[in-house]
Amino acid sequence: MASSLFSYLLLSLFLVCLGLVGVLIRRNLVIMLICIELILNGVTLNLLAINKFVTGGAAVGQVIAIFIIALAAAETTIALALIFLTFRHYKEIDSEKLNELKG
Amino acid sequence: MLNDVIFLIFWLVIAVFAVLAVFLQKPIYNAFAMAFSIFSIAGMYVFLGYEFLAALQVLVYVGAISVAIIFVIMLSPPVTVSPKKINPYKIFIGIVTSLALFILIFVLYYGKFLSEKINLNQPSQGVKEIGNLLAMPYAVPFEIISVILLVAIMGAIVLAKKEE
Repeated sequence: MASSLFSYLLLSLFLVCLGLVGVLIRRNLVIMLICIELILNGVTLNLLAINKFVTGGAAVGQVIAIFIIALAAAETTIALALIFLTFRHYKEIDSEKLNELKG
Repeated sequence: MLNDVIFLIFWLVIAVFAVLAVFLQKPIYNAFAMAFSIFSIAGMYVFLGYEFLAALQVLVYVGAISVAIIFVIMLSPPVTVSPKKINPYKIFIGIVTSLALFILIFVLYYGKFLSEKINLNQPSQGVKEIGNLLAMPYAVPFEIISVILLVAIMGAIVLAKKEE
């Protein structure tokens, strides 16, 4: 089981679809950000499993995974600052109530 | 055999805590569940032979991103998203979209990769090769990532600063 490529791919597919459900149906902005993190982790796991399967663990795939992790960190920083700002401005982090341009 | 049992435990822990991270009701519980799920994904990287990436995953995701999310949740005054107004149309759309994506990709994988095996005994390339790649062929992307991180930090500070 640990050496079967399909189990890794199934786990990463599960993480991506679960994160997609969360982004679409949850209304709290922080929880939507958490779901985006799950999607990014699923994508990275998929990339690394395929890298091990095709090239036997070459360093190129690992370098690209490092780039994904760094970009995820940058994205989280900006998103958290925006959520904090939104909360301070509107006193609200419900995504369904933020659809008006109140200025 | 023992390898497979440990792998199955990691698999289930990742899946269960990911479900909890999406569907729990209080954001602080969601953040802790996400941290645990991502921590176990580092275990998956060890199975595949990527020790450096496993350490990086723990450092960046559990040590920085989860802590930042928990920090923001704790800094905010208590806010409740009212659970009573649930929009069934939105939930229907979300579940159908995601299930369609799952079935589509699952069928593709099932036909192609079901019996493929990974050779786990063959060691992956280590820190030395990664360093060589980052030093020369991927030097420019590496520098661009550094600038992006710097701009993200400065942007976060500027955005979250209180106006005078």
